Parts: sequence; structure tokens; C-alpha cells
Amino acid sequence: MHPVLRRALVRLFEIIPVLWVVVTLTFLMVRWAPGGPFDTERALTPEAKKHNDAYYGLDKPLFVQYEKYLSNFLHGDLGTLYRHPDWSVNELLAQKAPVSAELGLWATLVALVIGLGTGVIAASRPRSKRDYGTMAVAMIAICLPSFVLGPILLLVFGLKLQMVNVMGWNTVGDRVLPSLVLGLYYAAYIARLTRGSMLEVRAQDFIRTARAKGNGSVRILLVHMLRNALGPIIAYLAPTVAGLVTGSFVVESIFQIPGIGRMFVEAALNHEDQLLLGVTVLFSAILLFCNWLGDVLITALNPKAAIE
Amino acid sequence: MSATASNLSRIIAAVGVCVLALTLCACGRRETPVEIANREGILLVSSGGDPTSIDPQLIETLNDSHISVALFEGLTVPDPVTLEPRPGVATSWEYDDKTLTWTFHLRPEAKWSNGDPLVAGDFVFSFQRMLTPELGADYANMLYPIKNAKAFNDGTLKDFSQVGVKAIDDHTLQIQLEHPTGYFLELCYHQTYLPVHPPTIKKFDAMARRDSGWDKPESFVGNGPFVLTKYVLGDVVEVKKNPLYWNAAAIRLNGIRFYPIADVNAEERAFRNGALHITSTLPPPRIPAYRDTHSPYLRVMPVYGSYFYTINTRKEKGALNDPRVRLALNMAIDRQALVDHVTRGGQIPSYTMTPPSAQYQPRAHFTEDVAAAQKLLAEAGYPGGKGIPPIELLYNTSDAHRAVAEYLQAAWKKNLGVDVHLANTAVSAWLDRRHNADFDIIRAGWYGDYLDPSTFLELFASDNEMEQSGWKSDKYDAFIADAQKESDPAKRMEDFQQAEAILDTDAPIIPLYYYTTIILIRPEVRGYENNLLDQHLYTNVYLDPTATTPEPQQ
Amino acid sequence: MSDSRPLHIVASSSLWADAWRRYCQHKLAVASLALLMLMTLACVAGVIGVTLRTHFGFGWPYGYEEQNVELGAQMSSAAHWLGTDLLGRDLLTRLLVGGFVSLTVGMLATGMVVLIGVTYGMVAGYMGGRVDRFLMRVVDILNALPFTIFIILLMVVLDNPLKSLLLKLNLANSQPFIKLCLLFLAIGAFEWLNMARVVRARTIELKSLAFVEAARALGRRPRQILWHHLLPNLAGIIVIYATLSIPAVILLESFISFLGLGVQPPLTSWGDLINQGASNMELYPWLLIYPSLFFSLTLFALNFVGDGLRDALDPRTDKGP
Repeated sequence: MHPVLRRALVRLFEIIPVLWVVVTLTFLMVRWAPGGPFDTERALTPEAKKHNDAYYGLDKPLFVQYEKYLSNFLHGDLGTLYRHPDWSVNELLAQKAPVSAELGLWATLVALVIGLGTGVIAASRPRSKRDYGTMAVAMIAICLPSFVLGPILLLVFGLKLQMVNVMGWNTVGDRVLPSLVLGLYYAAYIARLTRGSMLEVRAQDFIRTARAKGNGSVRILLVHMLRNALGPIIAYLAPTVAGLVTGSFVVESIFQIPGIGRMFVEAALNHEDQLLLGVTVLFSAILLFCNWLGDVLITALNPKAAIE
Repeated sequence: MSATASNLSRIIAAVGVCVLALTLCACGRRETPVEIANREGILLVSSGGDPTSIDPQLIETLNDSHISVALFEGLTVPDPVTLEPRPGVATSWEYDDKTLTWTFHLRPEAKWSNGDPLVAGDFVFSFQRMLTPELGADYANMLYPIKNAKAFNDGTLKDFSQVGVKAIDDHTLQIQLEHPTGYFLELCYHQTYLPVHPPTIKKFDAMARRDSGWDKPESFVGNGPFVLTKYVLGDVVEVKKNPLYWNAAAIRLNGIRFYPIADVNAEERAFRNGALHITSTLPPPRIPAYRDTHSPYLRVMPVYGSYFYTINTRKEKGALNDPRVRLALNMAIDRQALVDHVTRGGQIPSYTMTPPSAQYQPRAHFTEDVAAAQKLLAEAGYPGGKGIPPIELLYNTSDAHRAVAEYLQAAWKKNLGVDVHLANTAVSAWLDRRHNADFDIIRAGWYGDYLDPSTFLELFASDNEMEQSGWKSDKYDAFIADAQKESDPAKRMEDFQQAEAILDTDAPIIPLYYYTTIILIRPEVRGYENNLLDQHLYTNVYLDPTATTPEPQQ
Repeated sequence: MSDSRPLHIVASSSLWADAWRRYCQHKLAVASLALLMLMTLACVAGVIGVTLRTHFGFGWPYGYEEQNVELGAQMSSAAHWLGTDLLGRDLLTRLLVGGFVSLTVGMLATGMVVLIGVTYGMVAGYMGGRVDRFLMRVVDILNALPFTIFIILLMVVLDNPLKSLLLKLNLANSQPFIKLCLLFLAIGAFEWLNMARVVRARTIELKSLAFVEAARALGRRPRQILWHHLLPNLAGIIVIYATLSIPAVILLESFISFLGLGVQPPLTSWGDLINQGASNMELYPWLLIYPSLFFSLTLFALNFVGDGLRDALDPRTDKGP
């Protein structure tokens, strides 16, 4: 087997033990946090509390609980929620993860298109007004948190102009603002990265050769510079896409989108152990996979990097 | 660089701008969700957050009860304005005051949403489930007026047939009480007294289990005016008209959508964007804007509820153990300013735990007087606030609660020299710390379950685990127990006044104001009457798309 | 034969002086540095003024926690240059105090990031082999954890123990600062990963260079090599990344405030002020505009300073046409 391919496969399988460690660490963290899940508005009678604890296995020693969780996990049973007992973690993940994934992918598209486009524009004429102008706009986007940008855009387009729905994830139009708000921050980052790495590549010998050979500027720009500059962009994108696809608490709260990002943070705040574990595993799996994919792509584009 | 590359960049920029413009313009003048819903006869309501459950025996909050009242019906239902009990599943009833027994006659045409007839035995089954200790229903204590209910619920009684509820025949239900309970008929329309469908519960093995999932749309069975058609956390709870409901002819709504919007700003935006008919609340900073412009959307409803802070009075808390310190804290704040400038919702400043109602006007036992408060503090051994260890004030995360907490912090610092630190936590941690008495002063609130002072005052009886102030008083307990047994209404109220006096002077709490419910509601919504318990039957509600002014309220 | 050429004394130019000269070529970077210093000075002045007022009664015209609920939220006026917030507190004072909090959290967390990240990365890079692989494996695992969630969990978990510790040490009056400490501890506990990676990569590059070989041949111990030889050469990249991570930390702190977990009232931070402003921007726009302005300008400046430092200390990028 080709050594690069073999290395790639080995790295892929290495994800499993890392995931296992992640599950264990999260489990310990979550059980260590104070406050049991059954502390509700009305105090339970001691009887009832005893029963609830027994039913959920909370009265057993930590190691036993851990074993039970792992064995359930391997059978595909991720547990049920405490505060919303109608729901199992599996059901929630099946319902909400696709929504967050869709939002994340749209945001990635926004980030890529706007980011790459802006970065290319800036790099095409360095240190010009165009360059500084676009980079300044990019900077503003980086320095503006989404919980500010979101309400501003909603105020203008939702309330004043009444052009879009301010909540929900039903029509195609509902996708526009959330994706923009989520994606613009990353677009700005990608724009700066693109510009920076394209300028780095520009100085190198093979570009001067290409120009000397008489290749058109556009061709140089797109084919040579961009292709060689993609490395750092992919390295940045890999964990970013993973994060985007697993949901954004802020955007989902402001736009009332039924995704997993909101549930995730609320689970951490409300002591929903099972949900927390389930989503953490999902998040980590996606992150590790995206990193692996990113590595593969970088190697494919630039075999020299594989030697590192 | 050559012209071609720079042209390319210009093209990219131009295309980008066009795409953006097109996308946004494509939205155009859209038909708002409210316009569509008016046409379809569907009510759009915000429920203020995901429901804990659809199972009426597992829910606790007022917002959740708004959903359960659409899906289930109890023996009685409340009059929309006076809240007097009216026939629900029961058409008539008699009371025998010698045996303390109520006899209810159920209507023969009552059915479950799957066609099964609704019989008295269903209520017996439902009460048994509610009181089953293993289910851990937090609100089971609402059924304690029923004979032996408490014993069954805390496990001392194992045989449910000893509990005072019996089905004489399919359409006659008998309930024997533990002691005279003048408000029992009102209790019957509370969400804890709603029936559940026995075959469904049995099928899902849900008698003692919270997480059976029987109440998902595919398997849901209820007896209310609506049935559950969609239930997605964080998205919507949707119900549609139940054609098998005994009074289906009177229902004028085709359906209701409950949106669980937790972010109060998002909720207000949604209303203004035409996505909601009714909100669950309104952020205080926005209230003046609506009020000053006499907005037709603003509705302010006084409700039977109390906003207060609970003080941990236990010995180890030092200064807070001394009632003079607690009273000083009570006297050193300006509640009118709080209500006028901070909460701004037309709330009424409160000096007692219990709000006033038709039969009960609580008497206050302290006045706001900074000089007197300072003197009290000095008497207790802390002149000028010196020597008091730092006190922590805990509230659950919310802009509104935070503003109140900051106001109190500043007032105590300025008027008494007492240092109070603020802490906020998510709701579950806040509840946890209340339950475990892990606080110094903690924010609290209570909506009356029925229109009687006992719903507030019984909270502080020493056997009630609800309010963890650690405060006990035998005299107080005596008055409460007396009121429970007393059948003369005037004497009962006097018992409550005496109990209230003890509570007020010993001050294990800091009452701040009586709640008002402040919402935005569109004029098309008719039949949504104000009442003190904020209970609204959807059988009375209908949509009139031509209406432009809100309906007059009593 | 003696050398009869006249002696030209050329001022010796150190690495740092060269870098400073390069830095000064970027007008934007210089302006940003000036802005940053001005901002920091203003915030420190604000905090000192407020403290003087609390303890001695003179100095600053307003306390950051002094309310005036009857006044409520007002626009800029002669009395309140930037207006007041919903509880009638002076916004300028709160902005300065909040800035101090945000910048402190940013710098403390970054300090932690530098401390842990640099040590870790240097050791991993220099040691190489199995040690390196193991250390990097740990980094990979920590990287796979959902970062924000763990910060939240850490804050929840450490809250009570930290409080009891402070009580035991009789520092109970500093309770409001608990959340602050927690915050920068929690953030620092995760942000160091990237720093470690970058430092390790550079260490590996430097390790193979001649001067390190020479030092080893001379019998220097690893610790001395790391401290005297490698660290100075890493300083450039450390400074760059540290400067660029401060804005990331401040943004993270604003998100934590959005969740209500951040600094406790009446103390405030820029993130907290922005959050409150965002909720009320329609009716009281100045509550959002001024905090966002301060916040964005500072972040802008930090980013440009970082860029400038990168160009000055690590000149590999071609800038010309």
C-alpha cells in the first residue's frame, strides 16, 4: 500500500482511542460538577428522590456508572434527559444535529465565498487602497461579536424593513441572515489568511518564473498562488467547520433555530449529563474527522508538507 | 499588476454585491406568519421556553400549564374572568360536610381523543399515578387535601384503596377530603388534577416512570379541546382541534402553535415581525415605550403572585439569623421606586407575602423607614453595617432579575452600609441551591395555585420543604393548621392574618412586589380574558382578523 | 603592520532595535500602539479615580456602581459625557472600569497561555522522540474537547471550591473577583494549546541550527540551552501570538458574559456592557455604540499591533509588487 495512504488510514483509526479518552474525561468532569439533576422547584420527598436516583443509577459508585454508560453507548443508547424526560438523547441528536449542520454548512459557504473573494481582491494589489480597505472591513467583522451583529441586522431587515422572518428555520429565506451572521466572522479571518499566504507565495521563485514565462496575471493569481496558499486556509478551516457544523449557541438563540448548539450550552448549564456526553462525543468525532480530512487535503495539494 | 487581474477583482466584488442584494430582495413583501395564521384560524403563542413535558403530572410552571389546559380537561374548568369553578368533565356535584365527601357526576358524552369513553375510574387511576412515590411527581402535594393522599405519597400507606377517591360507577366519582377545603373545586381545575389515559400509560409502562415518552404525538391521548400534533424541543408544540371533545362545537380555533422562545428580546422581535399573536412577557426596559404611546398591543394583568427573596435564617448564617437584621433589610428599600423605575410593569409594591384578593386584604406590619432600619441594625450589634460578614444574593440568570438585584445591592449599601455580593446561576443550579439551603439570600417567586391565602402561607409551615429558609415557628404552624380545619370563612381569614403577621415581623423573606403579567397581544385575539391566575381556556378564544382595537377588559 | 584606516564607530544595533525600526515603518501599527497605551492609561486612571472616590470621597465624579434610578438611561450630557445606563449609572465610568476588567482578564489569561504553552512546546520540541509524541497526543486529545463547554463546566465545577478557599484565607471580601479569576483560569487552561503547537514547531526548526549544536558540543545542559539559546529566538513568535490571542480572549469573555457566567454586578466588563447594550439598542442606542466603539477600537489596535510585530520580528512576507 502506498505509504501516504497507509499513514492516512492509520491516522483515521487513531481517532477511536482519542474519542474514548474524550468520553472518559467528559464523564469525569460532568459527574464532578455539583448539583444533581433532580433539584426542581418543589422539593422531592426523600422517597421519591431515592427512587429517581436509583432509576438513573446515580446512587451507584462512579466506576459502575461509567461502565454502564459505556456499555449503553456501544449499544447505541445514549440515555434520556432529566429536565425533559420525554426525550432521549438519540432523538434529540437526530432531530437537531441536521439543522445545525445545515446552518454550519451555509455559514462555511458564506465564509469561503466572501473570504476567498475578498482575500484575492486584497492580494491582487498589495498595499493599495483596495487592500487596506478590504482588510479594514474584515477587521470590523472580526471585532464585532455575533450577539451584536445579529440583533442589528434583525432590527434593520426584520423589524424596520419587514423583509425577513426574525425567527424559525422553515423557509429558504430563513437561512440568509443566520448564515451571514455566523459566517461573516470566519469570512474575515479567511480573507486575512488568504491575503497573507498569497502574498507569501507571491515572493517565491516559481511565481516569478511563471510571470517570466508570460502567463496571464489572472491565471497566476488563481492557479498558482491560490493553490499554494490554500494550505494554511485548509488548516484553519478544518476545526472551524467542525465547530460551525455542531451549532452556534448565540446565533441559534437569537434566531430561535432548533439546533444542537443551544441545547449543548444549556446542557452544560443545567446539568443534563447524558445530553452533554452525547453531544461532546459527536462534536469530538466530527472535529477529529475534519482535522484528518484537512491533513489529507493539505498533503494532496502539497506533498512536501507530508514530510513534517 | 496587469489590468486583467484588477478587472477580475472588480468583477468578483460586483457579483458579490449583486448576489447579496438579490437574496435579500427575493424576500420582498412577504405574508407574515400572523396573516397566514389568521386565515387558517391558528393561534400563535410564545410559551417562554421548552416545556418540561406534555405529561400534566410532571409539569410545574405556569407556562407549561398553558399547554396542558389545551390538551386535557379536569372535573371543573375556571370561569374566564371570575375563576369560579364551572362544569368540565363533571356536570354537577354535591358536598356532604359531615363526611367531607364530594360526589361528582361525570358527563356521559366525555371521550378520550382516540374514542374511548372517559369514565370515573380514569380519574382514580390518574390520582394514583400522581401520588405514586416512585414517579417522583414534584407537585403531588397539591392532592394532599384528599384523605390519606399524603400517606400514600410518602410511602407509609401502601394500599391505594385507602385513599379517599373512589369510582362509584362509570360516571360517578367520590372524593373524601382530609379536612374541609373550601377551595377544593378550584383545585379540580389545576393541572395536577388532570386525568391521563390509563391504557396508554399502561402500554408505555409509565405508571412510575418519567421517561416513557407516551406523550409524543404518535401515541398521545388526551381529553381536552385540542390534540397534540407536533412536539419538537426548541421549535414548536402544535395542537389541533379535537373533533371528539364533548364541546367541540364551541371551539372556534383550528389549532394553536406554542413557540418555546426563551430569549425575551427575540420574543418581542418576533411579535413585532408578525410571528406571534401573544407573547409570554415583555422586557422591562421596553414597557415605557409601549405604555407611553398607548400601544394597542400592551396588556397588563394583575395576577395572584408574589415576587420576593428568601433569607436563610439558620444559626450558622450569623447576622441573618437575627430577625432584627432581616427586618432592617426589609425596611431599608424603596419598593415604589423599584416598581416605578426598574421593573416598570405597574406592579404593586408588597409588604406581605400574600397578595390581596376579594376575601383577604393582608395587613402590613412594617413600613419603609431608613432611620428606623439603621437603629434596628445597631440594636442587633451591627451599627452602620459594621461587623456583618459579606452576604451573597443569588438569582437566576435574567436581565430583569439582575436589575432588581443590583437595585437592592445599592440600596442596602447606601442606607445600611451592608455589603451584598451578587451571584447568578442557570435555573437548575439556582433551584438546586434553594433546595439544599445553599444560599444567604435567594430570589424567589410564587404564583398562587388557587385563589386562597393558603397557597402562599402554607409554604412556610415547618413541614413544607418548598421554601428552604430554615425558619420555623410553632405559633405560625398552629394558625395554619387551624385554618385548615376551620370551615367558617371569616375565622379562616383571621387565622391567615395572624400567621401573616408572624411572617411579616420575623421576616424570613423580603417581599418586593405582587406580580403583574405584562404581555403583547394582537387585537385579532378575542376571548382572552384577564384573570388573577393567568389561566385561559382556549375554547373561549377565537381570531377575528378584522379587529383593530383590543377587546375591553374587566 | 598597523591598520591606519580611520576608525568608524558604528552604533551597534541589536536585534530588538532592528525590529523596533521595522515596526515603526508601519504607521498604522504605531498609531495602534499609541491608541492601546492611551486606552490602558485611561482605564487605569478610571479605576484609580473610582477607588479614591470610594475610600476617600474625592477624585472621580461618579462611582461605577452609583445608581440614580429616577434618572434612568439618558443620552450624553454635560454631567454624563457618555450618558447613563438603565439604572442611572455613569456610562463613561463603567466603560473605563469595564475596560480595566476586560484587559486584565485578557492579559492574565494570555500570561497563563504563554507560561504553559511555551514551556510545554519547548520541552516537546526539544526532547523529540517518544516524549514529544506523548505530549502532542495529549494536546490532540485536549483539542478534541468542545472548548466552550469545558470552560463553562470548569467555571461551574471550580466555583464552590474557590469560594471556600477564599473564605479560609479570609479573603471573603474579594468574592466578586472569584468569577474573574475563574474566568481567566478557565480560558487560559484551554487557549495554551495553539501556543504550544506553534512554539514546538519553531523549536524543532531552531533545534537543528548550528548554534544549538555548538552549545550542545560545548556541554551545556538542556535547561541552559532552552533558557539562554532557544527562548530568546522564540521571543518573536511568542510575542506575536500573545498579542493576537488577547483579542480572542476578550471576545471569549464577552460570550461568557452573554451566558451570564462572567463578571458579577456591579462590576462589569466590556462584554457585559455590550451585551446589555445589544438588548436595548433600539431605545437606548448609546448603550451599545460606546461600548462597541471602545471594544472594537481596542481589538483593532491589538490586531494591528500583532500584525506589525509579525512583520517586524518575522520578516518573511514579501510586501512589494
